[in-house]
Amino acid sequence: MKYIQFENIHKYFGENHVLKGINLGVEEGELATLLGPSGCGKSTLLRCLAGLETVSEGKIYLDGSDITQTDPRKRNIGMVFQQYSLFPNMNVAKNIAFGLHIQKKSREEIEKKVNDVLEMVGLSDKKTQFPRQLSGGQQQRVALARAIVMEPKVLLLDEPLSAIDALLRKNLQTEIRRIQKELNITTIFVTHDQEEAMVMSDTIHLFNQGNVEQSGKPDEIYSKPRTYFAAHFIGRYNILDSQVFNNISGTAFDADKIAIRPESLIFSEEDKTGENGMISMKAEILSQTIRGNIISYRLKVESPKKDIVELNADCLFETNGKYKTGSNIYINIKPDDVILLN
Amino acid sequence: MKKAKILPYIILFIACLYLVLPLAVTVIYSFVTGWTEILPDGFTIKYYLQLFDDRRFWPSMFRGIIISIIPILISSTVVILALYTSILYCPKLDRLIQGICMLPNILKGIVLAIPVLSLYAGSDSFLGNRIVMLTFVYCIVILPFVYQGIRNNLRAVNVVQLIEAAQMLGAGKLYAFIKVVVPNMLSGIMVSSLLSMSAIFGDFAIVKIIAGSKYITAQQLLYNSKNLLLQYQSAIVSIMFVSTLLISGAAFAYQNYKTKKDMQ
Repeated sequence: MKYIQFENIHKYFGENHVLKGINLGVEEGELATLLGPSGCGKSTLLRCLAGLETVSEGKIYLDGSDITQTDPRKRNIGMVFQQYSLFPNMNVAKNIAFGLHIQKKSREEIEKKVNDVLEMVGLSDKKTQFPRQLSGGQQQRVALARAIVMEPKVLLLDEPLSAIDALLRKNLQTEIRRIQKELNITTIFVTHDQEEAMVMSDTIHLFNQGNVEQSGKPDEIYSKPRTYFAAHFIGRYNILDSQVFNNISGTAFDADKIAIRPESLIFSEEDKTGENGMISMKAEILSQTIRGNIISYRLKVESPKKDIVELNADCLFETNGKYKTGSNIYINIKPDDVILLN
Repeated sequence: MKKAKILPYIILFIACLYLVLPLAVTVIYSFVTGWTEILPDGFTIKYYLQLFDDRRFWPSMFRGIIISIIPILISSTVVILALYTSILYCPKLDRLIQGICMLPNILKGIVLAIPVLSLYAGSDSFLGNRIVMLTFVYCIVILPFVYQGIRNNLRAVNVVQLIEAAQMLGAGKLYAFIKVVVPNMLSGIMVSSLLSMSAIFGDFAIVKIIAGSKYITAQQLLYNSKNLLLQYQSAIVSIMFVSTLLISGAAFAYQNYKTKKDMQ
């Protein structure tokens, strides 16, 4: 049994079956991400672990103990919410000390812990400020400090960065990861942003309609999606019917669907069919968009049987100006980069 | 550009003048000896001295204040607890609570007073006590002010999430509500309390119907003085206004003091 273990968790809201038998484990000290689109049940599972929702069926274990029916106050779990949920009537120090006062810690101990945690999140100078006087990023750091000062067994982060602008979000991702590693605190992070999940996680659990679609390390989830949903949700995979792909490429893959990462398409001026088993196809460039260091191309490929397929390809910026819109090129794919989905 | 900057001040000045003028005239009138054409012919404080000499005045003021404060405390507590229950346990109840609290807007207090009196006047229980009856009638009369003030404040804070956040830090729901949510409602409670207080403090009809001569408030005293000089009546109104102002001022000063203390 892992440090956190969900066993056959079902959750109903009225007739709506939100969690459909979740079995999932998180190791001690790990940062696990629950990733998925809105309404897939990831936040509900997190809230079940926190005790803010009851489970309709199944068991939750934390550090070997069954906590399914335990009062949220007694679970020793810290949580950071999407909208920070700082207490508006209290300043930063009082927000952080709130839980310590409930634990009846001495005044000296509270002061020391508050100062230490404020230093950790880099907000020592904001101690006497009220939440309304802080920026979104600062508020989220206070919320994080308030949760970790309690030294919880588990830290839950429910889309904590979704209300923060892109640049600050990247800084906070690094900050949260640093603090999590420093404290070696078991953390479950909920997000719908696959890039954020890739950056922060030790393990990703991909959710779809109340089920865990796929679990694994970030690189594994990205490079080896097992289902159509996983390929569709992670990255910008080209997903084709295998029959259509076989027609345009002259191959004979046996699967329901074929997925190809956009960066797996290699451009060339000449046909490279057969070179190291390469699959080569002629394509027309329909459009190109610069996305920072990447240029995204939209390509049209036509098979001898007149199947027309549009594909996305990502190249490094150094190809800028080399391939013109409307021109014809060859796209080459290594057989290993063709992912079979069933 | 300059014109646009001045315009709001002009509007504000006119609005203030409109609101303050009747009161200012009443206060001035309480000091005049007589009136010639459009100006007073002299000033005096004799009406105030007469008023302060009247043994009935200060007790009636005190009664007026007490009968204003107690219903506010009761109604505010009831509404806060009702909203606590509806928000956290049964959100569907919110509509019902709103409907009930808004009902006195249709059923005016003066209409309510008569059936309450005929229903409970002969009762041997504590409900038959005129002051108890008056207190509860006032509780109902001020419900719309109290409810609206508190509800508006609650809309500005995400109560459920604040309580959940407090729960995750080890607090119980009620403790979290009292420690985290209620302090955020204080300004709303304060405004609704002042509105309620002015409604009760200014009433003489309900208190006359229910309590009659058993509970003389300052308003009743004013009503009973209707045959006396207008300057005397103006003096009563002025004192009542100053009292309300002092109570409100004290409440706001306390709130400011608390905010400043929290900031330290």
